[in-house]
Amino acid sequence: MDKAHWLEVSLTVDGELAEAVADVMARYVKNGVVVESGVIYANAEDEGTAFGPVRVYGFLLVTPDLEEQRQKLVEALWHLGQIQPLPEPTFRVIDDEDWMASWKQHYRPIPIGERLLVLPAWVESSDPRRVAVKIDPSMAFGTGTHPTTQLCMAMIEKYLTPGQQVMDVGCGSGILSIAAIKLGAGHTLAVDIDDESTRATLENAERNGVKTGLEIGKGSVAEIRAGQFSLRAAPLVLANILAPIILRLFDDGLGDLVEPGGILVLSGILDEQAAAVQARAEAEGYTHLETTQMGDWVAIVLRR
Amino acid sequence: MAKKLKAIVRLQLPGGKATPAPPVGPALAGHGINIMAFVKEYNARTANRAGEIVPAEITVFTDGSFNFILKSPPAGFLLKRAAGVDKGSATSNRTKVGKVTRAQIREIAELKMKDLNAVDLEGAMRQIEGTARSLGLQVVD
Repeated sequence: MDKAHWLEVSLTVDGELAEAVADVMARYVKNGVVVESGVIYANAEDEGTAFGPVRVYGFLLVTPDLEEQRQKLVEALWHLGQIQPLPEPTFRVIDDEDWMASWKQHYRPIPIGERLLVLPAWVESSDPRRVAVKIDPSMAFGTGTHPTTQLCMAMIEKYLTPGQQVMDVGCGSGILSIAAIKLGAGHTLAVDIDDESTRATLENAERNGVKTGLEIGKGSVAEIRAGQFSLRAAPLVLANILAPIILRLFDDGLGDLVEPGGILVLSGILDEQAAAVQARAEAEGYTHLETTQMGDWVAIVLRR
Repeated sequence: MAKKLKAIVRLQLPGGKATPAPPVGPALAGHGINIMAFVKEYNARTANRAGEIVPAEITVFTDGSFNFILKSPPAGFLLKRAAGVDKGSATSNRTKVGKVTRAQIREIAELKMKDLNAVDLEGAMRQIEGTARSLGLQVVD
């Protein structure tokens, strides 16, 4: 059977008109309508806000009566345009694809540091000299290759002594703990206050074959210090969270989690927040070893 | 991690029946987000709303992660239900297919208030009335 084709019908309108246009379109297109907004940023730190004209689009399946369907849709939009002025719709034919698979083409292996390679499970490692960490992009954790994660992984590679115990506070997808174990870490404790994170960490650990040696727990600094897990301190502690949370965790005793002489890697810190975080760690008796940067983000390495 | 918005994509889909076929596939594949993850989650959350159009507002972040919230049904769906008609007029500026009362408009505006860019209920009602007219529904007192 020939591949199916779809005709995309698209109109860019003001936000107020979007609902009316979507409603007219929904009568003719198959499966539903999409309304997409662009985003503007107030400044470099801003998360972004939906802004500007919106694109309303839908798809007609290419069949023998396509032209008839298309005409009906154009006419209905014309009538709507008599009430409120509308731009002309634009059309383009797209091939049917394996949509489930096509989003995967966006992903390529990402080399990190000297020895690591992050890649989704469906991609074969292209570089056998690098240690592969397989993380599938997910709803909550994205690709796992945010600059702060990359900075942190490079620091694990540099400071981890094989066999060392590791703590990962705020483990998210578990990527840092998995990288640590793959680089030779001993018993590793990964904690997060979010159930979705602990679940994802377990799944990713299984996918990477590092379930043994990884202890996953729900909690944070307070729970570790209260003795809820097998480790109360470790020679290498990672915290890839945001700067304000790192500062709060120092109040809870983050500084006590590192064994004397051990290393603390702090990441998730914006350039302009670095001084405050470093000052706080130094006030806890830490010595600054180095700060690495990628874009606006930094990671700070300290010794207790 | 701190996230930056990439786009906001609103999909108006049949509750419990989303598939990776257009429009979901092309709308999401372009942003590199996991279509399977969305479809499963959407159908699970809307399984009890079969027969309704349930909009999902997806927030896509630059790191490839996303989240979504379900919205109230589109105004058009609620208006047609209020007027007791199956579909709007194809020639809405000429042919009227039904009527809705101002009280019904107010009720729908109240329900949709949080999803509309309206500053007050009056503004929301004007938007709903506009949609009613675009469907060929007459607004009566």
